[in-house]
Formats: sequence, C-alpha cells, structure tokens
Amino acid sequence: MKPIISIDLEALVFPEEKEAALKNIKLDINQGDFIAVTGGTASGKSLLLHAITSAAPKFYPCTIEGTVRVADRNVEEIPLCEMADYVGYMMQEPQNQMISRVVYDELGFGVANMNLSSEEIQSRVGEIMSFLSIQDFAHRYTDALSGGQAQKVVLGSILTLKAPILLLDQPAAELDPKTSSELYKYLSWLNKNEKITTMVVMDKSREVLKYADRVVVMENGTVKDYLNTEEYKNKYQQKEKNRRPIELMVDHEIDIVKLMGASHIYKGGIVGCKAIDFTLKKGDFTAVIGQNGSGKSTMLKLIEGLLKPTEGSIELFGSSVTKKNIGELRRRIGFLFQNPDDQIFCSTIKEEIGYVLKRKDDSEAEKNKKIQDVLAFIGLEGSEEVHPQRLSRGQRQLLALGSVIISEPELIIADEPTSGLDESQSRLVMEKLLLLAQQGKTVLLVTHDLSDAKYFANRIVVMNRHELVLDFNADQMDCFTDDLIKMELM
Amino acid sequence: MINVKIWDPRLKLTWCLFLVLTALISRNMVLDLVLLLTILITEIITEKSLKRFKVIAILLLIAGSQVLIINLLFGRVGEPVWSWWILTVYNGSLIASLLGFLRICVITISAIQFAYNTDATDIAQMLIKWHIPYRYAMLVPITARFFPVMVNEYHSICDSNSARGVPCDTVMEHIRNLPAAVMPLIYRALRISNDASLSVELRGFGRYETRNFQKTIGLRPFEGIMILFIIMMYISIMLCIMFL
Repeated sequence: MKPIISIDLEALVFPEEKEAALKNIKLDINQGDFIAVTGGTASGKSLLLHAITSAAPKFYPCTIEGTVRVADRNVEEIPLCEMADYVGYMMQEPQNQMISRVVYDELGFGVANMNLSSEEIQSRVGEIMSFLSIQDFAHRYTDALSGGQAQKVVLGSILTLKAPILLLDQPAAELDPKTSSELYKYLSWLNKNEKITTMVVMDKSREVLKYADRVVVMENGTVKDYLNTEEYKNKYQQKEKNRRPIELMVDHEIDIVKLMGASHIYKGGIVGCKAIDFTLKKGDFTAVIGQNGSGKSTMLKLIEGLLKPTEGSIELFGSSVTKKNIGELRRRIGFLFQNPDDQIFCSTIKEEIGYVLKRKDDSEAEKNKKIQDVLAFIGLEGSEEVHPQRLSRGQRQLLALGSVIISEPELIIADEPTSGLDESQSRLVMEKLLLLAQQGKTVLLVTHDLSDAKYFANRIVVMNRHELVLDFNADQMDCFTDDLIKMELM
Repeated sequence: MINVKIWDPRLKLTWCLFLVLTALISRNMVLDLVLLLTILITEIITEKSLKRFKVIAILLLIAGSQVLIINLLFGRVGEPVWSWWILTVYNGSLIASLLGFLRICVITISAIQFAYNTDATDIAQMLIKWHIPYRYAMLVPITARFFPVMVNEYHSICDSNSARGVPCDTVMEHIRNLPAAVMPLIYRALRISNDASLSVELRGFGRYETRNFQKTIGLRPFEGIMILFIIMMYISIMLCIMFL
C-alpha cells in the first residue's frame, strides 16, 4: 500500500538562518493512521505540518531540499488553494482562523469555495453541526464564542471539506478536560469510521494517546523516534505525577487576598461569579480549577481590580480596595496573562524585562543587575537584544513572567499560564512559579490542568457555575475525587 | 419594528448617498436640519431607539465645538455681533459653524445608519453584482469580522498593561499609554492576518473564478421604485438649489 503522506526532507531552511529548521526527516504515513506528534520547545512540530500542507515554502518562504508527497502527488505541484482536496489543516489559536462573522457562514466557507450546490453546502454544514453538537450557536457571531466553541467551529469548517487527511495543531489547547475528551472522541470516531488519516500535535494533556496508533517524537527539527503508542509510553511518558511534598512558608496570620461575598455581573446580566468567599494567606500556592466559563478569570480580574464587584467587597494586603489605593495595591501584584503576547510590547528582551524599572529611582547598575538576575531565573540570559517575537510561545510566557517578577510583587496571579504550551514548555513555567512560591511569594494559579494543580499547588479551590464550591488542601485531593468527577474535571 | 436589514443593500446605499450628497450641495441650514431629522425619524421608526448613535453623538459634539471655536476665532464673515479686546465674533461665522456641524452630522450619521443596517456579506454581494471579483468583494465581510476581534484584542492588551502599572482606565490614560498598546496590537494584527490568510487559502479560497455564496441579493419591485423615487427627489432638490 502506498503511503498517503510521504516525507523525505533533507533540509528546510528559512532565509537568513544558518541552521535548518527541519532536517533528515523520512516519514511514511498510511491511510487511516492516527498519529500524535510530540517534542520539546521549537522542535519543529508545527513546521512539519506546514511542510505537509506546503504552506512552507509557499506561504512562509524557505528553501526545501527533498520532497513531500500527499496522495502520491508532490505538494510543490499543488497550488495552496487546491490543498483542501487533500488536507484539512487546523492551526493553533482558532479565533485567528475564522473569517466569517456568523458561525453558520464560517462552517460553510470552505465548501462554498469549492463551488458546490447550495443544497450540498447546506447538507454538509448541517451534518457537521449535528456531529459536533453546535446547532445551538449556529447563528451566533464568531467573535462572541468561547475558546472551546471556537475550536469546534474551526474544526467543523475543516471537516465540511471532507479531506482524506486531517492535520491538527494542539486542537485541545484551550479546552477544559471535558471538552478536550469529547473532541478526541470525535476525531477517533472519524478516524475509525471514515478512515480519515489524522495527525495531531500533542498538547500537554496527552489525551490523544488514548486514540493514536503511533507517536512521532521530534527534537531539534528532526524525527527522533517513530514509535507505537505503547512503546512511546514505556520510553517517554513519566509515571503519573504523584503529589510531591511541597514545603511552603505559609503565614496563616496574614491575609493577602480576602473576598467577602464578591460577585460580578457583566453588562446584559451575564453572571461572571457569584458570592465568592475566599481568603489567600501569605506564602500560599493556590490553584483555582474549573470548566471553561466557570468564573475563574472573572474572580482573578476582581482581585486585580480590573473589574469591580457588583456585590460584596475585596481586601488586598489587609486594605479595602478603593479607587484611590488600587494603583498602589496593584504595584504589589504581578499578573501573568494567558496570552503572553498581550503583555509584550518592547523590541528587545532586556527592554521588556526592565520596562517597570523605568519608573523606579534605582541606579543604572542596580537596574542592570536586577535584569540579569531575572534573565538568569527565566533561563534567557545572553538573549538580551533578541526581539521577543522571535522566541517560542513557552519562552515568551517565561519572558512575561520575568517582566512581572522584576518588580518583586508579593502576590503573583497566573491566569492559565500554560494554555497553548506543550508539556515541556508548561513544566518549565510551572517549575518557575513553584520556585517563586518556595521563595515566599504568594501564588494564585488558574488552570484547567488538574495534574498541575495537584503537583504544584498546596491548596486547590474549585469553581463550578460561577460559584466557589470546594476549597481543600492539595494533599486531600483523593477525598474529593467523586465531586471532581461529577463536575467533569477528572 | 420594520426589518430594514432584509432590504436590498442598493436601496440602502442609494438612501445614504442621497442624504450625503444633499448635505454636501445644501447651503441652507433648514435643509440640513430636515435631513438630520429625517435620519433620526427613520431610525426611530425602524429601531424604536436612538441608542446606536449615542457614542457618535458625543464625538460629533466634540468635533462640532472645535469647528465652532475655530470659526469664531478666525472667521471674518458677516456683521460683528460681540467684541472683547482683540476678539470679535461675526454672525457669519456662527452660521458657517452650524452649517458645517449639521453637514458633518448628516454625513456621519447616515453612513453609520447604512453600516448598521447592512450586512457585510450583502455589501459583498452588491459588489459582486457590480462585477467586482469576489476575491476583492469578500474583503468587506472579512474586515467586518476582524474589527470586533481587534477591539477585543485591544481590551485584553489594556487589561494586561493595567496589571503592569500602565493604567488604561480613563480616556486620557488610553491616549497617554497608546504606544504601550499599539505595539502588541500590531503584533497581534499581523499574526491574526497571517493565520487568517493561510487558513482561507487552505480552505480553497480563490481556487475557482466564482464562488457559491448561498445567499444572493435581488431587487424587489418596491425597492426599485424606491430607488427611482430617491433619485428623482435628489434631482428635484438639486434643481431647486440651483435655480431658486
């Protein structure tokens, strides 16, 4: 049987780069295979998918030595707009890929380009909508969708093409465990029943391993291993993260954050969070977990003062939050956002790290010392003059963390800082947060990843339907397994 | 409530152009005022509220006050009505300011009314009917989709800037800290446009000469009559202005 994807790449080199971004890759994938692709930071996983679609070099200029064949055709000979016959490709960040205002139009965008009849378009869109259970928001605006909904819509618009190959780059990166599990079940069903060849860049959840036949392990732009799932698990997968004993200097006398019946209702009556009673002690590493839309981010924004409580009150560092003191209180908080690109705005790493020091009276020597210390902490020393956008997403997240901790905040709030990162990148970020907690900082982490919460935090708070429903010591997690399963968090 | 959204975009465009062109040729404040009232009345009839014009009304008042100040300071038309030290206000300047303000109001509000009441895909359809290739016509709905996306991006950048000690609460703070928001916004815009264009190509955009839009537009008889009526009305007003 001829492979449906055949890659024989000697080198893929970007202009002005000495090192090949992909090298010595020989890979054959048969029709109906379900392949997971994994590897460390900047190992070339996404680029491999770009090479298969011929986006590299047709969209991202580069030189290629070797050939990539899809359905026995050299992809170089296939115009990009004809690739839809062979490949459905879903990149990271689904919101960036939607171009229609309304969900229904987005789902039909690809098939409308194929010039099919209106009846055929309607039938394909209808079929996919019921398959993905998205009929409820078929007429909603695409910019009003949650991360999980957007991911389903982009996937749907690709599935309507009925291409024999699906390439998906971390399709569940922004999804909570329940939605992520549903998505992989859909993909597995398609793979088994429709014989759709599927290649998925694995995110840190490793859920895809339940369904994948083989795993491609990439390192430094080349395929290090091509194993079946069992071999991969034996060779690479760490044993299930056990709770590790964390010694934190928690001072139970000092309240850093105190929410007293705090609620926030958005315009139009949309509930953000309801009657939250929560106290964060000095030195705590607390993880807030919950499904998408459970009110976690709203709670964080209330604490940071980006939103005001519509009911109840908030105390930070022992003082009530008022319009007058919010600026001063904020200076004692470091907020790490989900998307590092939202908080990176300088043209060099050094400038970015030192941005908040501009307002301080320290001498140049002191400022430089602080910057160097932070660079060493986040592992970016020697890259002072590099443009932040040249870093990988994981490195950009570390840079954002560096720009937050340079002002020596007492409280660090991290809103899903590992979203969109692979396992190795997210581990790097989480280790740094833990290190900060061990140095006496108070850390408040919002995450979907229960294993991160269990492994790194000393306390876990669970939010469900906008309310804080559970608050327990991470050691006692096993006692709450039933509740967590009921809330579909496990 | 009358659902204007389902009307043909060519009728709505004709109405908008009628208002804009009449305001441009008008030299009469009363006519401009009538045009403005007409827009507001049609808005109340169709939407039962003027809420959509709230923000633009504030901006127009700011722009209007600027026009008034400049005209009062530098205008030398008509009779002096008030004088203090080196400052003299002429009645012609007042009239010119009001006329200018009303014109800006009519042009802006009619354009906004058209934009609100016309679906971006309808505009694309209209352009296709005028034999503009669909690759270019599709730019309208694509832009309409990315405008709110970029607004959301800007808000999230402002939030993260606020958290880093760059406040973005008041209008002045937004203006003062614009450089800190612009750079990440540009990076985001470039990344989004890059991903979006690759995504549309890989979904077959531009492969064929034509594309099935599923929904097409067609001029109904009453819409055609309305367009003719509007054109005749414009010609009559123009003739009146020229010869009366």
